[in-house]
Amino acid sequence: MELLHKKYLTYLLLNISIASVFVACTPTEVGQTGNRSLLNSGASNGGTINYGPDTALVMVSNPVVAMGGNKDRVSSPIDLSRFATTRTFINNFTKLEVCEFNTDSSNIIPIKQGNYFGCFGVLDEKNEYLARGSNGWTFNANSSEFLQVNTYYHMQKAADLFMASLQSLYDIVHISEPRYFPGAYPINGIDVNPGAYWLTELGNDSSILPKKLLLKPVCNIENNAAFSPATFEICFGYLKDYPTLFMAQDPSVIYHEIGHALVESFMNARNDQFPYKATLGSLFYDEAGAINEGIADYFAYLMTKRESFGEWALGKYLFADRPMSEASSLHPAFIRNDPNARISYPDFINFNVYAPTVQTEDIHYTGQIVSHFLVRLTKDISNKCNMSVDNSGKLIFGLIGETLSEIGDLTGKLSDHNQSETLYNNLNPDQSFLWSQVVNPGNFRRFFKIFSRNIFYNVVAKRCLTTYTKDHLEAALDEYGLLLFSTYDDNLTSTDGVANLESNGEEDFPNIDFSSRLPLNPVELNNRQKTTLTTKDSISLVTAAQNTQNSTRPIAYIFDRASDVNKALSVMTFMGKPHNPSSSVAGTQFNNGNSRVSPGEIVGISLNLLNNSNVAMSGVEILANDWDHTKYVEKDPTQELKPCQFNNFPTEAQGGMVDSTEDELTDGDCGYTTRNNGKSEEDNPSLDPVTPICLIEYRSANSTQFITQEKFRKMNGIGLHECINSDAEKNAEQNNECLVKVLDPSQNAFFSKIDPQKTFAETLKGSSTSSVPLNSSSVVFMEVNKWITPGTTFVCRFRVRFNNCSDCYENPELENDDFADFEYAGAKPFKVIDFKFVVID
Amino acid sequence: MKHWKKILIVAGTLSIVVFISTHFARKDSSTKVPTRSSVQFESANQIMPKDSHHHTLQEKTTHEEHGNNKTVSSNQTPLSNAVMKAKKNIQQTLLGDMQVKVTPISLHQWRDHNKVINVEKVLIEVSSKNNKISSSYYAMINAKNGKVIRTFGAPIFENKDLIGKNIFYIK
Repeated sequence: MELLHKKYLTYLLLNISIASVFVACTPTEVGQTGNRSLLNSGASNGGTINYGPDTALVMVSNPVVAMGGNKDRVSSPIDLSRFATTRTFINNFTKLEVCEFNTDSSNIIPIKQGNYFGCFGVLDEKNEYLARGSNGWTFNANSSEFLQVNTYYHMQKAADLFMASLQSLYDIVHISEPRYFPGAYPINGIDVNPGAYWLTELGNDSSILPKKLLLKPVCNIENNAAFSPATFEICFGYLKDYPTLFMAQDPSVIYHEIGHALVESFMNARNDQFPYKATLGSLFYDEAGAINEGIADYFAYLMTKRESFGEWALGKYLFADRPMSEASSLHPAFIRNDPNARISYPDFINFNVYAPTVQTEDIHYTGQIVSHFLVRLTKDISNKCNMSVDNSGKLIFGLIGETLSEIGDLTGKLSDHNQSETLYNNLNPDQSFLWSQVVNPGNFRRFFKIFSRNIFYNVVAKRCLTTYTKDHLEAALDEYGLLLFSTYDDNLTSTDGVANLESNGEEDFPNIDFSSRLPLNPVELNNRQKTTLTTKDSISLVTAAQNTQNSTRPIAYIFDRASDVNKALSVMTFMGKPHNPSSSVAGTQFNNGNSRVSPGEIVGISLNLLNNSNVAMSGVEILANDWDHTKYVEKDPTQELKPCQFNNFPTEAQGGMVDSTEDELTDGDCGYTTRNNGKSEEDNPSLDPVTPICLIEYRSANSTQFITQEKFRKMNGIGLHECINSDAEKNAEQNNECLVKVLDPSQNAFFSKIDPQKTFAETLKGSSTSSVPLNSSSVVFMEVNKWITPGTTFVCRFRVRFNNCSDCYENPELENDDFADFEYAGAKPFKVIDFKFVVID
Repeated sequence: MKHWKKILIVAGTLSIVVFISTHFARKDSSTKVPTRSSVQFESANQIMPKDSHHHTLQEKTTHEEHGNNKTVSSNQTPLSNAVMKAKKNIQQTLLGDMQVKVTPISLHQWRDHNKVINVEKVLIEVSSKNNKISSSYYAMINAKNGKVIRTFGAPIFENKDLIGKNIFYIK
């Protein structure tokens, strides 16, 4: 410790002397060629001055900020040495990499230079770590080497903030008493093992090691930057039209991408034992992805304390910089720092400051609602709780981590404080991946409910007491349209709905103090002034009666042009959603492009859902996964499965099953939802299987029935080898999707919002008279068996809900407590949408 | 050269190496990469690691300065049938200029309804020659038939327009 202290003093003295040299010394400018591949070599531009081998000049801000916000474009490259004027410590190693964590519990927060916290490295164009030059880490500011050193410097700062936020989280959630709610973030302290809280991987001896985050500031990717959770790499690209401009020349972009890596780490804080990981967001548009972007922007705010992001390469040349508060000059005049003029949910979903009237589904635009709220909350808590913005930011970022580790929890246990076998989160370890990623993902409602609960119990009830109140929190949420929940969902209902805080709380969570709080904390409904909710019955397909001569709305869009579908499937594979092609009974070689569903095709279907209410619907989720909507006749698994009746469909005459009103609901009944998503035990088949969404209309001389695909197959003598689905599924009869099968990667679709009295398509089009693009995340893809007789009718039972839905998440029969997790395998939290189509040649 | 001179030169060289390594080494030797062995978690119900290494793959583990950079040797035995099938299936879903590489990682067992099946964790790398762009993510595949069961860890691109966001249009 003493040694470090001396080193720090030496460094400070060195810094002061160098700063005085630099007042009078302008670095030598080196001309550029204008070609990114010809970035100047890293020969030092100040070789005659010994700056100290462990230090370097860095760019603290991006050039636009350094020039006072000047965003005028210039034709010739800018000499960056003008902006690399702050000398700072880099490291005392031989390479730009580190994987070291302070294990001294008396000094957890990294306050001294030379105390390293993190596991990261910066790679050059050849994927090698930069070695020290003759002048240590000092390189020409226009060189690739400088960019690497500069990136390392910012990564080190980001890692310091991350670890300090973890410390803040750990102290307030796990150490400070009373503990009102069991924290999801792992208990074992970062003071004991800080490296364990980086993203981890299994070592050869099954020990858990920190996974090194690799940053590539000179990455070969045009007009882009990307974070890859699988390889734990960040790739910072360059501008195609200005090849000497790099994304990594903007610290806010570096911080944003690092923010994604930290989100990944938070999401999987509890998942060490799983060979797969949870992700916040997938495909092109969903609210989990928007939250991820908003948090990444917010992390850039915490690091730069500026309320705009990406002014340099992104903003100056791609018009892709973003504001993070209403005060930002990027905003149009109608957005102001005023409770009634904020960028609120859902009105400002898809809001692009450069095209305010155009609806473009993009997670970065929607994520602005998240970043604006978080920035506002940081300032608010700083003001009202008498803490610095720095400390307020660390506390909030730590509680974001606490929130994400609950959303991404694959263990089902919720918390290490859970001393029982009872499961409280994401159904169970078998199904937690499906629950956390598809069925009940981290959308705006789920994220802000859990985050608000964490703020409530740790800031309102503990850190700030009377100065920052529940009303303050709820008012802030409401200003942004985010008061989407009626309770803080804090009564610990088990995933099977059997236990809760009152029955099991003290026994299951002995370290939590439930004695001084309400079992279920309600939101003060008077605080809900701007947030608007509506019921799930308000969403539907367009009916014939709603179409007029002047307005004919399709109930769905069918995409079956082979080239389009091939491209979409290819892009989905690229983006991590490959499908398993069928051998020969379906494929795009059969696609005929007639905008109808034909035998053999792979078709894309986008339901054109209609919002019948007078408020905008936001975050519309369409589920196409198997669910509990059928029933064994006589409650016997050897008997056939018949469809349960929902919304009066199918009628009993059409084969719809209805429970007896006299008996109590038990396993196998239509009104009884499976507690484990239909899982069978060995030699004990489930009475409540989950089954594919598509039924078939079967016409006989006497009646029309809706039956399962498996029953149809047997009735028509179709061999298993003529079916679409995989071998594994053929063995489980109840899962057999022989004729029409939803592609595995499209088990869910997402619409950003639907305006009042409009369909989704009308919402996207707005006032545009030309065609508008539809994200592939709005489309469900299906394979259609080539042996289907034209004229065959199918009904597919999609389940739909949206975020500002008053009865999709909460049970009015249980004081508006959130539905237990098992209910998401059934119909209750959703509007069942029966989509009927005829296969036509 | 006399034998003792050789010994002196070697000894001198060693002294310099020792001096350099001790001089530049971090002073606090206790700050090694920590592991999480002290953290006890219950095993996941669904996945039971069977073998931390693929049975047909020779792995070469290089311990760099901090010991956690794992690289896979190019000197490897042929891929398993499941991995080959997965690669073929995935390649089939890609447009002409795109290519896929599938690298096996580890074997696991998975309870699927009332049966236990073998699954394999693989790394999928997709690259497009035309767009000079690539992506990597993990998948769990059925170790028998190579079908993809689930994927995770897909990249987050800041500019999705460049990777074919807009394919379908509505009038």
